[in-house]
Amino acid sequence: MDFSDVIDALKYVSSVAKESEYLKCVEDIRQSGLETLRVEASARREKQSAAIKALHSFDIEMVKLRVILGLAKQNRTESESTALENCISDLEKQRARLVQDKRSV
Amino acid sequence: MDDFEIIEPTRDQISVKDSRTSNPIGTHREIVHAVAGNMDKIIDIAKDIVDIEKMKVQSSAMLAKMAEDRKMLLAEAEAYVAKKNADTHNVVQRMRVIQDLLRDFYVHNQASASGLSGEDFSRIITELLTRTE
Repeated sequence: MDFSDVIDALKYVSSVAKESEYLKCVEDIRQSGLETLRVEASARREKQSAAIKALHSFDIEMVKLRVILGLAKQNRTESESTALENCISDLEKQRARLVQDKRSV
Repeated sequence: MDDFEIIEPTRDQISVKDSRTSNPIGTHREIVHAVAGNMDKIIDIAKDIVDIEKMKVQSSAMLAKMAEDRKMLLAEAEAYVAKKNADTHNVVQRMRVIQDLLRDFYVHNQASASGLSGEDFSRIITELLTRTE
């Protein structure tokens, strides 16, 4: 076994090691990517759940408000009516924002 | 003196001695020659080693970035949920105040009893909307 054979053997070992390291890196990155996707999906679910909960709470309170508003309708003057309409319109805008938030999550 | 005999060095012994003294130069030449002859392969091996180290560094940098991204995603989701809960609580409280106002001054028809006029009511609602926005 002369020097050239030793070099050839080392070259073979180094190329095998390089290939093996490459495959290991690819696999590690692939696993990490999958983990990131899992975390991303979980974070999105968490955010969507919060958005839906917010929307439900809002809708329940809105229903209650509308019921009371209907009961109070008969006693309203014009200025009160405007104030209440503004209030409802503002709340409707809030609801639209909540829906937008939910969609954007 | 009769027990000892002087022996002249033989040819073999001389040749061994010669080879020992002349080998360092010969070996050195052989190594230089072998290295020169295999220089391209040696460079390839060195390149492979450098590539392996480079891959390790790049891979660990990428993995660290991904781990950081995951942390960021979790922190962002946590912050979003906290903010959303706080906002929802705020809006719900605001709507409950309006409900209470309506219930107190209209449903139970206590406006005249409390002395709150329609204009006062409008002002309160407007202020409530402005403050909580």
